[in-house]
Amino acid sequence: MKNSPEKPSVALYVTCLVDLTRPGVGFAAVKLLEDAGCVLSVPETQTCCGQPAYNAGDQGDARALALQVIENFSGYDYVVIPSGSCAAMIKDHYPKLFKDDPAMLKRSVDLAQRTWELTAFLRDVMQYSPQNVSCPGSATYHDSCSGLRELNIKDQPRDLLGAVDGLTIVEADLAETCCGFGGLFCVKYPDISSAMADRKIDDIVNTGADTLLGGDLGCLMNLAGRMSRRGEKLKVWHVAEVLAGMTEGTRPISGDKDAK
Amino acid sequence: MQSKTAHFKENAKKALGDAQLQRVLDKFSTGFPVKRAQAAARLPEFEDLRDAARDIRAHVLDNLDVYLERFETKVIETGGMVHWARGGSDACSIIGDICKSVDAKTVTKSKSMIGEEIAINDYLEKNGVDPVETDLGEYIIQLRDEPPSHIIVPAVHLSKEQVAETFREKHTDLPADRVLDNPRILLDEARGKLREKFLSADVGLSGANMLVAETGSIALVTNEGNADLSVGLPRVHIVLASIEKVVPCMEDAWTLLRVLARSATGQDLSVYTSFVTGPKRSDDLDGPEEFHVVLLDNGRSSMLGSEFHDMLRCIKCGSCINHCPVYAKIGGHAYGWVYPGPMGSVLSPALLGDVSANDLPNASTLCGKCETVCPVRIPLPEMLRQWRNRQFEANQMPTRQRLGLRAWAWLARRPRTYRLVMEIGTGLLTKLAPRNGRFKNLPFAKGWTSKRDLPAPQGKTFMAQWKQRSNGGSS
Amino acid sequence: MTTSMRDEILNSVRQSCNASSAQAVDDRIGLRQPNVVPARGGGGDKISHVTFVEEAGLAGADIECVDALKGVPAALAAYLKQQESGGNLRLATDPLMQDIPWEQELFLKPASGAATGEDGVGVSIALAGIAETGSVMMASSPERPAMLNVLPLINVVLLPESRIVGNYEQSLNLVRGNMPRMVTYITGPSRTADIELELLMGAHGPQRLLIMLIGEA
Repeated sequence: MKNSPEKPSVALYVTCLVDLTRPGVGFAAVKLLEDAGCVLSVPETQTCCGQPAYNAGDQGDARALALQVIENFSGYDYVVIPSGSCAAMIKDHYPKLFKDDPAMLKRSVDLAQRTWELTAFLRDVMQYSPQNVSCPGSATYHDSCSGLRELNIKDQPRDLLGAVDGLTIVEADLAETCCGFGGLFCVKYPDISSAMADRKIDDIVNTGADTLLGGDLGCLMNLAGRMSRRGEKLKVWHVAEVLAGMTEGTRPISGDKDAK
Repeated sequence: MQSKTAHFKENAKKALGDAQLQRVLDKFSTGFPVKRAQAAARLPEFEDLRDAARDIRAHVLDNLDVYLERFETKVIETGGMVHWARGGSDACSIIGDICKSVDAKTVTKSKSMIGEEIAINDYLEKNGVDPVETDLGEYIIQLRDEPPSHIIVPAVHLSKEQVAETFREKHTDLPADRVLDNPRILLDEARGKLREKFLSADVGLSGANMLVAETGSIALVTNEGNADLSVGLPRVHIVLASIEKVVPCMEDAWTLLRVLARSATGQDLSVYTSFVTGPKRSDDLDGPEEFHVVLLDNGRSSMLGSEFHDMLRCIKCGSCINHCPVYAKIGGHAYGWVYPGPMGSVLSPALLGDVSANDLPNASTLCGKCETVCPVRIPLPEMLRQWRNRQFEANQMPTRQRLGLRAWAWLARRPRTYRLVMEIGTGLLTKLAPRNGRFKNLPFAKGWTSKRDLPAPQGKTFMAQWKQRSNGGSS
Repeated sequence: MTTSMRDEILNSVRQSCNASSAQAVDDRIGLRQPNVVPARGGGGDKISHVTFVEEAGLAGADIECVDALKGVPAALAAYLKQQESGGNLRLATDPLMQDIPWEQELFLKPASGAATGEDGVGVSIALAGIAETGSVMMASSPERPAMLNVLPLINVVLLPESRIVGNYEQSLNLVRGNMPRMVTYITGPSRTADIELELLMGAHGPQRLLIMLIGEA
């Protein structure tokens, strides 16, 4: 499955949330990766990366799922994920799960090195920049915690969005502050979680932007769900949908734009 | 201090509904992070200093037994006394006995979280000694009979109106109709009250920011100067410190001091940084005649070598608390014990040693901000996860959550079954979806829909659509 | 009882510090190796001096420069009048203090001895000034009682310019081997932000810190 450096073989790991709730993000990722010149595969047996189990203290299940992902995604030049959180799980945490098992540790490190978050992969590996994509308006970007602090994803999505016609980015004061999603946290502690989301949303509304973008569907669903409950008009999209020019005629995660 | 950690959820809910608290928390959580960032930006060596600070603390923990012995020897050499206390009640009785031996009536205290940990004030009061907190914030909450809500700004949860109300109620010797409408007036009133106490106290009780093994000195850091006054005027100075606080030499102390205030308040250095070594020397005009150091374990030695070992590097700056988005919404009292925020959620379960604090390590999004601002680079999110591991292994997770989690993992480990179940599930949800594509209420997802709408699935799953597309021969 | 508790604690610590090394500890304490030292304090005297004044100012200290000790009374009297303070002084009895012609300013009424709660102005002498943060290093002794720095409302610190060093580490040689009972690094006047985070000077200690920089002394 090895390809020339210009046409690397890439396995797309869509993530559970994209698979189940917003396949459009997956197709946006497909378009972007193909445009960037990748030879794309989508391993059919992919499920969950194990992060919920890992963060809940269930190391056994987390390890079993990590092993499954390592098997599923062996042999590709790269594994690309439209989520900083799932990518960080593989890059940062899989090797910790196998720290006492040298053979598996080696395999997990190998996978970690081949695994990329989507915007980082497009910019830093493929030197890709979107062509002829337009999205008129102003957007503010939410830096998801795992991507930002575990993978240093900050400029990559902004640089890519810089090539989108008509789109201006307005920075929010709390762009780097957690939205309160936190995986199971948001259902275990809904009061605290939604108060955290409200603090973020107040700050986002303050920017005057008409759109909220981010790279992690979990955070976006949390913010969008809360915005929708509050009756906020801001449109919410995953960054891949905007970069792939796939917002037209699609209902945003929340916001007043009607689907056709 | 009585632990209320078992009531975390109710306490947090109460805090979220308290408009006054939310107002002061907003002010707090925007101010401190900016100040720290400015202080760090002004010092090019700041990140290197954090590495050095981490290494010093790690080295001390690896050799703690020897460092404690060296420190003890030096304290005795310089004329002080060292007492060892296994638990909180041991420390209380040691301190009580010293007070009794000098027939103490009043003890001035400079803020000590260890003192809160062992509830020394309650103990002293029961034994006829009047403990007076002298840090302004601690003084206010002592008058109100409240615990601190932050380790460096203990009264951060209060408004100036609440402080005024408290002073009017407690300072009954002053005219009832006096004006108390701004912080300056409030401070001046407290200053006057505390001055009497400083000058008349029999014993000064302080914590210690550090114990210096080289010299047997204790380091005391304050902005108000209250520690210096508390321990410099009475006849006896008692230091209450936990065993992990040792540093090797003065150079190491200064490395830690360089990151301490910058991380805590964004100051380059706190106003008063004092190294106290032994009692009054023979010709000194002031200073205490007796100098006692009480070294408290209270569960720390059993953290050494455990998965929570690195937590003992903590220098109690409060930076993780200042930057925590959960703390920013619920404040310190919700955590239910002495130490709030990320450091507290790691430390409290260890020091309390039971399941009452089980909520704390879970009440975090693991957003990781705390680790990025910790001056000694404690991997706080990793330690919170370690608590979750322990709880899961000990079967302490609520049953429904455990079952849900295990069912999900069971499915996810069986890709074919998973696929089948997910196709049926999303199909069902898509059919049930309201016209606007958003669920307001889903019976099995109350945790989500109690506060947020749930976007309905966009249609078939990605994998199903991808299969169709592949079969159609497009790629 | 305490002895057994000591052993209990140390044994418990030892169980987890099984690789601890007395040699490593004694080496480290003996070496007294500076760790990372910021460049900010400067190397040369000039830079240290400028940085000291800047940093002390940022920390909220007032600075007066006088050419020599004999200039202290006039400058101090002018400062105190400007602050609407009285002229009663509580002085350290440091030898340097003996060379100051207090009698030249009748407004100033110096007294020595330990500080009291009523003292308005305390005057002491710093062992060093630390450029890095504009801090003054005060060391207690029979001539320099520690409470002189914190009890009075105005804290006056005399600092001969030659005593300015770049960083804290450079000040340690002044006390090493014979640690004074109380060594305090003071950085600006006493303050608190405990009521609604409003920064106020003069919490329990002095409301003002005046550093008098003395040339050539």
